[in-house]
Amino acid sequence: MSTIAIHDTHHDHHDHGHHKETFLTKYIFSQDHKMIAKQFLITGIIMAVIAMGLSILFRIQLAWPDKSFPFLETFLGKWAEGGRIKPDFYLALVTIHGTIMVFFVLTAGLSGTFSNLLIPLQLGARDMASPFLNMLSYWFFFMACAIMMGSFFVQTGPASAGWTVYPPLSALPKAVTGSGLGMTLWLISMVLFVASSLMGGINYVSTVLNMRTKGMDLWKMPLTIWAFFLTAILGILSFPVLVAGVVLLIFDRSFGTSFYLSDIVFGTQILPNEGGSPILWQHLFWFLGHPEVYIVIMPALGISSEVISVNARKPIFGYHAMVYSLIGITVLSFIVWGHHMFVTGMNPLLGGVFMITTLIIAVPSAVKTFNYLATLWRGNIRFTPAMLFAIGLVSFFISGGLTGIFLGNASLDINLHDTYFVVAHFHLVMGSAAIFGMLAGVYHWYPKMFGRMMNAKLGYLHFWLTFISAYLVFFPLHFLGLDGVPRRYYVFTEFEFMRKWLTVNVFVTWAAILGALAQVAFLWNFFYSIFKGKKAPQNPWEANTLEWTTPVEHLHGNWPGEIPTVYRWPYDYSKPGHDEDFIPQTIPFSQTMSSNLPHDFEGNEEAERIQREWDAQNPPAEQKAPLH
Amino acid sequence: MSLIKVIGNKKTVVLTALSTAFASVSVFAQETAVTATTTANTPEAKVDMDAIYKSVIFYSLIFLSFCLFVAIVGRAIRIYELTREVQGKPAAINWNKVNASLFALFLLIGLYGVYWEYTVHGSMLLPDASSEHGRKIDEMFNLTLIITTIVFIVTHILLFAFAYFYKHSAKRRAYFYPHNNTIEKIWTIAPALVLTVLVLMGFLTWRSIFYKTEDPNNKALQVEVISEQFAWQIRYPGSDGIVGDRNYKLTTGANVLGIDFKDKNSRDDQMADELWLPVNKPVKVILGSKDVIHSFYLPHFRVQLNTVPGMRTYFEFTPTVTTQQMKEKMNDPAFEYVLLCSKICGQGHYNMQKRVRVVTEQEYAEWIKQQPEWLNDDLRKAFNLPASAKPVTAAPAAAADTTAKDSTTNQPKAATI
Amino acid sequence: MVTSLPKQTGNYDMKPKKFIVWLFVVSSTIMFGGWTSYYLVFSGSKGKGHGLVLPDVFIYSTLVLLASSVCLFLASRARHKSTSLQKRYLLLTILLGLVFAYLQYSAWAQMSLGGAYFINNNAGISMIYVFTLFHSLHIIAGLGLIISAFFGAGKVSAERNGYRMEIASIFWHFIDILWIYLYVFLLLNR
Ligand code: HEM
Ligand SMILES: [Cu+2]
Ligand SMILES: [Cu+2]
Repeated sequence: MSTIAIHDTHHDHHDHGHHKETFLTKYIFSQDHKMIAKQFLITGIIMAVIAMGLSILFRIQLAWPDKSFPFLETFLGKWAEGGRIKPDFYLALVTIHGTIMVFFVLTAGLSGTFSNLLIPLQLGARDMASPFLNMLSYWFFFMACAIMMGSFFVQTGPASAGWTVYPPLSALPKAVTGSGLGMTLWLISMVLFVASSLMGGINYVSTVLNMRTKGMDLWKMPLTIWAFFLTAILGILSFPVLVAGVVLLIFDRSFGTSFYLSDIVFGTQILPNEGGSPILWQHLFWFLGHPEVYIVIMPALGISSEVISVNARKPIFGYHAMVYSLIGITVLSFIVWGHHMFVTGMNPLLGGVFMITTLIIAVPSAVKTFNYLATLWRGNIRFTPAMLFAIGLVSFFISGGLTGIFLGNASLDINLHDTYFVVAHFHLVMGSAAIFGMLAGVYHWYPKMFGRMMNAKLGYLHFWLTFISAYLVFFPLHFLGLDGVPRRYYVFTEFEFMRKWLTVNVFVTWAAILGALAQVAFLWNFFYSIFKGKKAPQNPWEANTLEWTTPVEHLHGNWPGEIPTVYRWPYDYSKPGHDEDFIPQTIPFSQTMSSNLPHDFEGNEEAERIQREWDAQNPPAEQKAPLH
Repeated sequence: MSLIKVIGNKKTVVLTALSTAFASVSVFAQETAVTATTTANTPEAKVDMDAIYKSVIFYSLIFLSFCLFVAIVGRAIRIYELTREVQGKPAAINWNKVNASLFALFLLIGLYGVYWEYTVHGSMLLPDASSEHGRKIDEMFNLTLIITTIVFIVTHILLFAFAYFYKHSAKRRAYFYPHNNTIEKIWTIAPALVLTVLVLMGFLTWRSIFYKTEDPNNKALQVEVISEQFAWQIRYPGSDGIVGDRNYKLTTGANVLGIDFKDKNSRDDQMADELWLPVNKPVKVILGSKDVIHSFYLPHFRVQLNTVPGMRTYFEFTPTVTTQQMKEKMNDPAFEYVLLCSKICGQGHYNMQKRVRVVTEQEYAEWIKQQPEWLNDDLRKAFNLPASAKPVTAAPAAAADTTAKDSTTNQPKAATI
Repeated sequence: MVTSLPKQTGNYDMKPKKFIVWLFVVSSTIMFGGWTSYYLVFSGSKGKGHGLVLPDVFIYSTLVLLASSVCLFLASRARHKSTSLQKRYLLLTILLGLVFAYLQYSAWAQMSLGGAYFINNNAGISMIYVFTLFHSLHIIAGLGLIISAFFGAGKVSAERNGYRMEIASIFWHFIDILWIYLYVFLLLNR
């Protein structure tokens, strides 16, 4: 108690001392977690738009491989001479698209935004453990983005070895032009990005463990926080391995070591490297890479848990099971990386082991899905745009998770690996589901971020167009994969059996263009509402969590007075006996005598006794107004 | 007042929209002029370029007018709602109902869409596997497909039906139901059991594919396939049935694979333009790569394995259907099996193919006799081999132990020049 | 900004920040874990390790690093008694740290003279350089922390002083243990 009070005095002092915040400290080098969240979000949105644009470019190539589009030459210059994208540039587009989407949008944009925004707000903290590291984290991320985009302006083009950058392809400029300077920039960008993620993740973990407000024990944390917390742990434990791998790749590329290279001949030119093994890169990469896909999806799952519960006006079903399944996913995701390498020729025994662990990880995922369904059951569902996106997420998570069961089966993966089936799988489960989680978060916490509401009707339009087009784009791709069409192919015209998919490709491209244009509704809504949106009330969704107890106007330190104390879990929605259909976490049980349940007291006998006495005096037949 | 403001805003929107449209029109117009002059003399460049420009403009205009339409409709709805509000009437449009109905509609159309996909696109897939293990894989696939489809349909029906039936109503309250341990246990254990079955079957299939017990009466045919940007090289073992050593350091213009002819087993190795395989005979492909990682992918046989520089990988399988039979079965005289590269390997990745033919044993025997040897006179000289030495004593193929040698062939020997 | 706060608040900020250092230690350990597992898989699949007799300098550098850790420990203990003693020990720690860095460098020189270059067809040997290089980068960071503690001693509040000392200690002892781990690892996996 005393520490909090002391901190409050500090806080006032601090505010007075910094009345004249300059533009620079307020918007650029801000150390305030809410501003940093917005920085992450807006950078993430910009990167997402760029990556989406890249995908439209290569979708055009796939749909109309024989046509030329002179306007492409206008945009891309020598990369699209004669209006046709060149094969190596096609690969560059795919690579940068994947990298931006996975790392910059779905890792930094998603975790960065919502962990920063919500961890202090939902836990009742004034700011992050280290606001300075937090600021640094954003700026490293920004530099990573800038460098990655910069690689479009080097003569040999951006990295083009796929987002997994397998050596030797990525190690040797001779193998593909993108492995020249472009790849160097990719690696530098990645190191900065990992540094940013680590600074962020370390901060989040430390904040969650040390800076919760009074009463906020771990089992009272909203599932969002659980998800961000476990995501951050995953990041801390897996990103360093990516750095380790990247450093070795840098040495191989720039200094001539042989960590990943051996026995390589181009035509008749024999390279001096000897003794390395390219497979080792894959191990190091996927030791990060698989946790990475959960780093991407877990925050989205956390967000949708919160959004679904709030808008179904129902407690999330099986809160503990939800947490345990997140923990299960966290732990298991470290021992499944080999499922990306079933057909590399590694020891088949290992393949068997990884198959088992992979299919085990599907169990917690299934539990989460069923719990979402059970939460919706007999709810009183308000279809805010956020809720629509959360339901969309559940749908995609099911669809994509089920295809994971095919891929996780090593025998089936023999024929599916590196085909369009994999593309369809991860775009549903990671691409669409995580993006939908992110959008749900944006719609839900927009009032908290900008103090204004987004336009709901545009939100509906945005959702329906996006939802439909995402399925139209990715569902048919499964079938290409099942027909044996490999991914990362520049055209399908060279093989007789692929020609029949050309019409499907045209269809998919149109669907993708529809989906991309639908984002205009979002972008307009987002940026317009920042300035002109309806002013937000303090608790627009009637939610229980702490962030809605802060004033609409942002201030350093979040709460003007003392930080509120937390008394209950965050999911008391539609509790029988209470007059409203939500009870914020800050309401003590003494104010809700009519709705308290025995297990609310967690074995506190004194409280139980008081409740019993109260119950005896107030027979449930006539529901009285809650006593004080 | 605010309405007027907004309408004013609308005007600016329209203006900007139109001006962008004009701007793009003029840009594209210039564009056409430029390209028309530069590419006038290349005959095929004139392909309906104008049409493309027109369509670009056309589509952007459509999009802009659609935006306009959306804006107007949005405005209309807003005004309508405001008037209702002013008149004190209840809200005109119940958006919860709208969205709930849309979910229901989406479910129905979606189910039909899935059905359509399964039947239409589902019938365009690879034919049944043409290899022994491939059939097992197909069986597993079908089982998994059935299970996952059921789960997919059921969960989606639940999801969207709940969305439809439990839409918001001011009269109702949600059912406070925070947990139920029994149910949760059930739906933890049920998927676990199903997955256990799948894992077990998958594991057994996997083992049967990669742990082959050698049948002495039906020894596998060894074939080496080496990938490079962007082609495949094929090496048949010759009469001794053994593919000889390779050492990348020996690579020269004449010896593109770096075959080590010091190894007697190499001397009779043959090259081939196509991958011919005798039907119903196990074949063990030995995979390697010269430059980057590629992937040896035979979709019709359910075979895929990466080719990695500095590493030898093996895949053993038994083709069961000849090309000829396949042509008849598919009713497609042009049908051919293909070998493709499925690991990103550079700009030619999309076109790294080889024809694969499965033939009868006799056809194979005929064909293999005509294939040239890798070892030619120049190479003989380079390796100090007698110029016209007879092929190494043709050891009967059956006698040669094909697997025992693998460990030795594995070790590239130091270069000796 | 934080430094200008009244001194009671130092306590409040400290725990989470110290925790941050611990988390950094964890992730750094994992990075080296990545390399050592690379090394293990590499040597396992090739059937050979770096195959060198490690230069003796490493023994001396290990001793120097250990000594520096002891000094730092003494400095921590001394800070309640006398600032000048604390500063003297800190200075000694810094010096020993620098000596360590120099010794590592001379080990490289010695290895190169013996023909075991960084650019090597035995990735195991290259890996020794990677280990030592990145460990040395940690040394530099650690020296930075100790120097900040050195200049803070006697100037900043006792609380902040203790806080800086603690952070420097966590990190420096970690580097120490990390080096011993790496050295033993290299000795065992020839
Ligand atoms: C039910 C759980 C899941 C299972 C069993 C599963 C299984 C797999 C397997 C086996 C692969 C490798 C396929 C191949 O390359 O041949 C794969 C690829 C992939 N998965 Fe999943 N997955 C699951 C969930 C997820 C989730 C939740 C995400 C992301 C949030 C995800 C993202 C990806 C991505 C990005 C790839 C492609 C990597 C690449 O580029 O090669 N998966 N999945
Ligand atoms: Cu994975
Ligand atoms: Cu290839």
